[in-house]
Amino acid sequence: ETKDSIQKKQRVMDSDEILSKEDAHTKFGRYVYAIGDNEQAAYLSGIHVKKYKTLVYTYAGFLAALADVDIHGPNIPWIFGLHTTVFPTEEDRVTPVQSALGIKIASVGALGYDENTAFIWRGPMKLGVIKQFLSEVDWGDLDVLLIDTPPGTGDELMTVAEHIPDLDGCIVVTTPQALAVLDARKSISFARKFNIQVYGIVENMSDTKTQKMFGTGGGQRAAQELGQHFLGNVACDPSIVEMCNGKIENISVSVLPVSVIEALV
Amino acid sequence: MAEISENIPEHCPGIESDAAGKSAACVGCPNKQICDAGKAKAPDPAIDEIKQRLNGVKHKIVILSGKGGVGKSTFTSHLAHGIADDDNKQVHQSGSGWSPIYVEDNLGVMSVGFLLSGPDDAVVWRGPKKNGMIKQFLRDVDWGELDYLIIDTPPGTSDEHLSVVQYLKAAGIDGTIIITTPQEVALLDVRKEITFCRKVQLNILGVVENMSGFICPKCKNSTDIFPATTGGAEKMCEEMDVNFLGRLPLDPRIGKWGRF
Repeated sequence: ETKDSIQKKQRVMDSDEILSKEDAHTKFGRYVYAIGDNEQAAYLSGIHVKKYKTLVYTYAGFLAALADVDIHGPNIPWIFGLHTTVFPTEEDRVTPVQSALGIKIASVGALGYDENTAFIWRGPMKLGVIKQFLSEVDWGDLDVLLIDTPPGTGDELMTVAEHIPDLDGCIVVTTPQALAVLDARKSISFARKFNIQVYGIVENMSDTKTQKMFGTGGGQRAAQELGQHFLGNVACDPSIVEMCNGKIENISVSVLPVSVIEALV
Repeated sequence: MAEISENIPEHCPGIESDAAGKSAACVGCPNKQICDAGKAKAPDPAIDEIKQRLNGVKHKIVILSGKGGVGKSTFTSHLAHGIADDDNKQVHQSGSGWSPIYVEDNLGVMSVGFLLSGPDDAVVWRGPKKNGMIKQFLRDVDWGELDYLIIDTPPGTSDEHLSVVQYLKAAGIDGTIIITTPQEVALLDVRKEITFCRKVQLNILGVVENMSGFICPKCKNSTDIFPATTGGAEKMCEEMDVNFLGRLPLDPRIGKWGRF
């Protein structure tokens, strides 16, 4: 067994301990035990291993956090239903707030300003704010910190790339149409320039069934051409819009391809 | 005005600020002297040069959006095509400078995309460098006599938007059209964009709701792909007291059209 697969198994076992307290008597809990014990055997005995692994990784997510460095459109607090929350700030410390499922969140959009307030800032000002933000948020112990960025390869992204020296990698999200993929290719060039590992490309709003909206396959083609991993499609689903009004954590994890979570864990 | 170097310190108070040239961060900055003498605060001569250059342009319209991916560029291109389709409009070429690329007899286009060596080329620039490029596009491109100059912008309220407004101060902007999609996550950012326009005194011509419903080409039924869970752009326009210009449906042909 490779070191990687042992680590993955270890992660399933860890979450399994947590689950043992909550779910020992459910089908879900028993399946997780089975998968943790022997993934292959669990698969052969008819357990949807991928599905349950995704769920477990989601549970394990309570050591995950989310930093929103989009200054002009900081929407993460709204998506998590935390837009009315004001983040506790002290002189040089910002405490992230926790979502319903315990994901720590910090965003420039939740510092107590009115929702119509626009941050009309040029590059140097943004650089200062993002640097301060990254250095002053008190994250505590985390497994994964996800950083949401604005579109493009400008000031915000350069600041993140330059000031987090041990950045593990990035995930590039695109929609299927050629116009969106064209910009995604630039993000990958950016990552190469800054020596950031690209975990892969996710194709969001992908319409594999009817092919009528934005089509499908653009992200996959780009991944092939650029020699990157394709992490999967996320369906174009109106119910996701509803979920983005503060109920994102009700979303069924099955909309996210397992490969995205596996790339990180 | 002396040329302002792009190599500025991280905590630059901004050249328009009162602390310019005097703050602790200014020590060692190549622009310290210019800022200290108040020269950087003086209006950029490019503003007048741009006015001269755009003398023959009758209407200047800026397209804005708060959120990314709502279809700004697609809408801008459509609008430009729509205006150019009107046969009464004529474009004459004169003078010198960078020549825009003509996609039709009477529709010229200029974009950083033309200056790249390939589709994967990323423009990894910080603000000051971007401002320089915008200045060049307005001052050095030979726009000639135009009826309409439509300016597409990135999402947000930052360097690009401030620069466009600042450089066109003398030439005058007719107004801006703001593009959004129906869902609240997009409208959140549009409200910020409207605040921006009011702050820099940019006239808002109105808001367009893009990707509003999807009409199936076969059964002609309409589905809301991005449901307007909070009333959509129309209700937001009422609340913010701006014009609502209309809705554009999601049309699969547009996605294909964007593939040349």
